Amino acid sequence: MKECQEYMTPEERIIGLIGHKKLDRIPVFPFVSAASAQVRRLDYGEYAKKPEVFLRCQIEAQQLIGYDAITAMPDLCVEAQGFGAKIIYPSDNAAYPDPFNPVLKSADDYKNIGKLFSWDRAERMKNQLQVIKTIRKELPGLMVGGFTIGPMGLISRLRNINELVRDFVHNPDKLHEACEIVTEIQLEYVEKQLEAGARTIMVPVVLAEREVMSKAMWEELDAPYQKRIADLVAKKGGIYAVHICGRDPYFDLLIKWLHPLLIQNAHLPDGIKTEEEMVEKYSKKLLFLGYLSVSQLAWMNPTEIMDECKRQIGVFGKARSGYFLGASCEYPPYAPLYNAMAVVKAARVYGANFKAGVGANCEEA
Amino acid sequence: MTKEEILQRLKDSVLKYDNDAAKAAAQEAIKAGIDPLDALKNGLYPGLKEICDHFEETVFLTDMLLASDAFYSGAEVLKAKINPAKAKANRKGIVVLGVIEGDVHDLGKNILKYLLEAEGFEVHDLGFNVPVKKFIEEAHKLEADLLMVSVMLSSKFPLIEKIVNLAKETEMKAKIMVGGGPVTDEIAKQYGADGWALTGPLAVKEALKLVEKTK
Repeated sequence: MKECQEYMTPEERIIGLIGHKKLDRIPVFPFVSAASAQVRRLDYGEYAKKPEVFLRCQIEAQQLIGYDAITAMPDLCVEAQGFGAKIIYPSDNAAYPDPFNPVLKSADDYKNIGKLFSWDRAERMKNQLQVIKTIRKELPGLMVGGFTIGPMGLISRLRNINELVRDFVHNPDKLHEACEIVTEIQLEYVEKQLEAGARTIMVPVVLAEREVMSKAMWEELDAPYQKRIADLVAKKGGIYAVHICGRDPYFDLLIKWLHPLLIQNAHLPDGIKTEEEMVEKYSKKLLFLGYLSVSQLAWMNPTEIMDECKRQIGVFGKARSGYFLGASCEYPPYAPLYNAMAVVKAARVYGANFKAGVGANCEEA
Repeated sequence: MTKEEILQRLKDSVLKYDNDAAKAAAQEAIKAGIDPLDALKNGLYPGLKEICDHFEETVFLTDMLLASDAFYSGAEVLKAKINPAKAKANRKGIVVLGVIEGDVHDLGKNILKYLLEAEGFEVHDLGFNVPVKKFIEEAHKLEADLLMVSVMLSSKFPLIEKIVNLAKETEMKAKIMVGGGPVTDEIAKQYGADGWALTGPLAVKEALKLVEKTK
């Protein structure tokens, strides 16, 4: 298989994609995060608890595989730790908050949520800032991303999820009070990540989907707070990226409220029946960030992955704002890294001379 | 108040997610001498059924949980008065349900439990982080018709195969159904499960079909 000659740095490639320039190859973002523990044969608990180890694994995995962007994020409990959540670190999967001992035990605890947080306590958030700074320094041509779980995402780590869903309807005022407080802390965290060198900020907006809640409820409960984060990222010159991995995501509302430049989705948007229709309807307004599913990355072999990448480049390469070859969710921590390598190889073989809106093998200079 | 009016109140309480109204209507039903099983099947249940029928159209996961809460508030009052022999005769089947080992996502499982019970299944909820062996042991012990396993982490897919293999080895009567965010029909088939469903309401329909096969 003939691979293309690379002549751009990852950052040049991504900026070029956004600017509709012809690229040496399609940019790649397999969202390898916890999976990078494999480069040092570590279990995930060990990896997630030790920031220096986490950092080295991130850097070595990128150097080994050669993808274009990193979103440094060991798991979804970074911010929850700063609010006093007891984090459980399993050896074979991502960390999660102790389900038997939620920080917020009743809706009355929402008003005190701000008192739970302190930067002194927030070791994992501070570590993330250091991770971003160091990756930026050691891999200067790479696109480094930051991450925040978003207001409602953070609250879901501090309160039993079943009770949180009940609060959506029974205690919206108390929930709003908590969202106000949490958003302010997250805005500060986002700003610090941008100052540390993050060029993008990714936020999971997982409530904006048909499976979970109505459009009206999302606009009432979650959208105003997510918007403040999106606005800050834009104001500071960062790239705002939405991650949404549930079924039937509300692309129309995400565009209306958040104006994301990048979107990473695992399922077709609400009201859309085919991948081609998604490209046709939304690719003028959004740049698509990967569509390989977690199951594909975990259970396909590298040949199948390359075939799927070729197919996806054919479909999404026509996206007018652009498209990254990559994962639709975090690369599964247990999935073999050779599949991430296959994605990069597919970009070099099938994604050469790429241009947004045209696709691969673009002849235009 | 007529019987029809009380049944309508039971139904409305579920549609309005009103736990207190559901309890009050259930008490009213008993006071009026309505058969509690009749009140459950023709009052509370149609409310929840209506919610399920519109899932992902005008009804969402949030609504399902809240409607289930109201259903339960009324059902608790009624169930205390239902003759156990009559309840057993009306039972659709015995289900053992839980979230796979290493996984703590239980929202979907909880909603499914409510829907199954509303449909008339006897449900034994093993909670989350349930070891493979425990699923099989409980299904044997309870002579279950159906073993339903929720899997929200794709890393746990191989455990579905372990459950299927252990079920075969021990000649388990129960059919095995799997579900959860990343599980697809293909994955279910690949690992040897008997059934799969995308959503809670569809899982109830599939459960009814599978239980028919065990009889």
